[in-house]
Amino acid sequence: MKTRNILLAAGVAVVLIGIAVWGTMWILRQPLPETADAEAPVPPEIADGATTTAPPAPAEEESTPAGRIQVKLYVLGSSGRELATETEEILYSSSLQQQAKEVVQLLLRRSGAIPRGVILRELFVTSQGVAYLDLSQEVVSNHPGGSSAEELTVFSFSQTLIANFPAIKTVKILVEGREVQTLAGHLDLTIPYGRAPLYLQPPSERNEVRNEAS
Amino acid sequence: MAAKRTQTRTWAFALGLAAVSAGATAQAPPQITVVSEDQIDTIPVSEFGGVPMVPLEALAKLVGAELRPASERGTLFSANGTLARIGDGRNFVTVGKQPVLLQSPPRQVTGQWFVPLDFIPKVLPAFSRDTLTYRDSERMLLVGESFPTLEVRSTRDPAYTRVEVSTNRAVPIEVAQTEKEIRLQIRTPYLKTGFQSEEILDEVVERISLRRKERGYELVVTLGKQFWTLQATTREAPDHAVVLNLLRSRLPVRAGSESPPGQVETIREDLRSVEERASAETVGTEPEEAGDPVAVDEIVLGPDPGAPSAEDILSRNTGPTRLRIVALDPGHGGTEAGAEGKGGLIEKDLALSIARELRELLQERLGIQVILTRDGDGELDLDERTALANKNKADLFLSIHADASPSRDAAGSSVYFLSYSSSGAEGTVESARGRPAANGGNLDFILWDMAQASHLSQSSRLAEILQEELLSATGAEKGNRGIKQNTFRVLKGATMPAVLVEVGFISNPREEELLKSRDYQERIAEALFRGVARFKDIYEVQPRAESGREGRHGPK
Repeated sequence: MKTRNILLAAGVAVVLIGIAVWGTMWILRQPLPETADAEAPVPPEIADGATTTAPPAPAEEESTPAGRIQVKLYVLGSSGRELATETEEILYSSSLQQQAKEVVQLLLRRSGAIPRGVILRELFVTSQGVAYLDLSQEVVSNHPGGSSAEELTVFSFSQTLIANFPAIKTVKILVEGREVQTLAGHLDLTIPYGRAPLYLQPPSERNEVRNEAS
Repeated sequence: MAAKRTQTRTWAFALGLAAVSAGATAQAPPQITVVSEDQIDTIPVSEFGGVPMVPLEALAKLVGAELRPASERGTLFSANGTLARIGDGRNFVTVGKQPVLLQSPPRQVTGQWFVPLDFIPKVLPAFSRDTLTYRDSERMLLVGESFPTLEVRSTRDPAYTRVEVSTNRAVPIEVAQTEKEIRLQIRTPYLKTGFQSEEILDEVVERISLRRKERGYELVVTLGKQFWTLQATTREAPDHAVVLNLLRSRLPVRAGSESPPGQVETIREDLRSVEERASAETVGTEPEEAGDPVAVDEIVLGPDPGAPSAEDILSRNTGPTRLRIVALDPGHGGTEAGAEGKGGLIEKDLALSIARELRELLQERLGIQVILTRDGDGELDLDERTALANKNKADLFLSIHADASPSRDAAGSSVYFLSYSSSGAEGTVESARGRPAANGGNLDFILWDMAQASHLSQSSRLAEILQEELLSATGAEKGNRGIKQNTFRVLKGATMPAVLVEVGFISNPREEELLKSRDYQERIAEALFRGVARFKDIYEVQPRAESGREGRHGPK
């Protein structure tokens, strides 16, 4: 009886040490975040929201190999007038905020609907499920203009975040830490955004969306 | 006529802990729900000989008491220096030296002690640091006293019914809308409130009721026949509130002169900050040539663009329904050039050129007075554009744009009208956070938002007609309906039917080439002209044939 307990304890200890070692390696392998220059002032909205803790856990299947999860990206579709989906594997992070940032970093490179040179300055999620997405000014200054292009930019961000993180219900875009009226003169960015309207949905997902709506 | 009445009712939360619902539950739940400030736990209830009982160990854990065997047939329950002796086959418990009578004796089953439910209110409080309140009908035990308080307040107005759900501190609330109901999920274990339900029984909201759910509360707003659309906003000072504005689908006709002026005044007051915001400098617009048989009010120019006033939003003077004035809004301008094509075509120039062409057609052939929000390369704020149309009492607002996409393949025209939901197909309206909270209430924003609300059905009709005409004039791809709805800032403040036209994709080399030609621009202007003319026919018989215009014009 006693020996069994000791063996059990030893087994547990070995497993724990293993996890710790692996975790350290993993952290060391992480690339440095490309976000926010340190001297950038934290805008009031962010300071406020940062105090609320975000519920953890990304949405995706845990069945992917060791420490990686699958994420779904809403990117520019081939017609140029709607979104399409892509899936990608990224490293799992237990922090919602960290994971959401990684998804946005990936989206910045892959979307095709987001202007070049945009940097993710900050992202945080309030307990009410609003993700505040603070982007650098290139999202305005490099924006090609046009209602469709602007819609695609906004909903590429919002739908990607919503689809991957159940804790995120809407996405509010800030530029250089501030609320802006629009990105390119069309959509009202003083309100947060959710899922894209039907005409922007990937054709493969339209029926699904329709059913949900009814 | 229908006098404007605003009714306000308030339920202050009852002091103490008032029950919400539950009523006479025939079937008592098989567990005790333990609610503390930040969490909910349950303790299972088992029946022994028909008597519901709970494990003593769970109660000990709850108050941090210690359990230790006292004899073969008894146990000691102690915490904070108080001791209770339980068991020995007796149906009472000695707390200190006081015997407390219970409905049945505690019993020991397979080594575990069970006590009847009345142990909770009779004995447990003596051991707890927190105030304990036990609600037998719901089998709920409240730990502590600092629960959020909830107030539900409804206000009725001819144009809308407002429901304010406020709490004294932040509580997560989610708003979801179905066809018949709006449901607010209030995610907090316990609320102090006196509100249970209210029958409003007007055509917008039939009923509001609050009920407990497993992990919080649900407030259900049952919608009436006249409900048309929902706008939800939040307020974070001085309290925390979700404000639901439930707009009525038709505005009752009312003669402007008969309305008590006081009401309008109040709303005007609230609108002031919108007007202040909107009264930034406006780039000059040239007066239109007369040549117009219909007598119209003087065109208002210069730095006094009007935000929608309460009258604009809620009603306008009666008079014959005529489409007399059209506001054309060439998109972008000044340093804000809009989209640019690879072949050098710039959206702001194209938009102005088409708008001028269309102005000519409307003036010459229909005698319509046309206002251009810019008749040059001026830079205008989006809100100023609609403000200008409002001030000049335009009957129609047409914003003219050219589209662009990161993909050069995208092609075709679209006509947009305003959507209030930014959550697309999901059908849920997340409260509009992120509004400047500094101005306390959000009434001004609510009214600004509402400006376009009573014109949406006409705006959507106008969008359809214009897109039909554009498709037949340009022969663009037919598969695409091209009538779209989204949260366009420039359409928000318009107090008349309003749409935004995307005449084609400047980012598509083939379409850019077409759009550059004078000839093609004229074809587009012609198509838009035909659309406005068709809409004018419908519009001018509207009050008899269809609804949606009553608030503004009376019958002919």
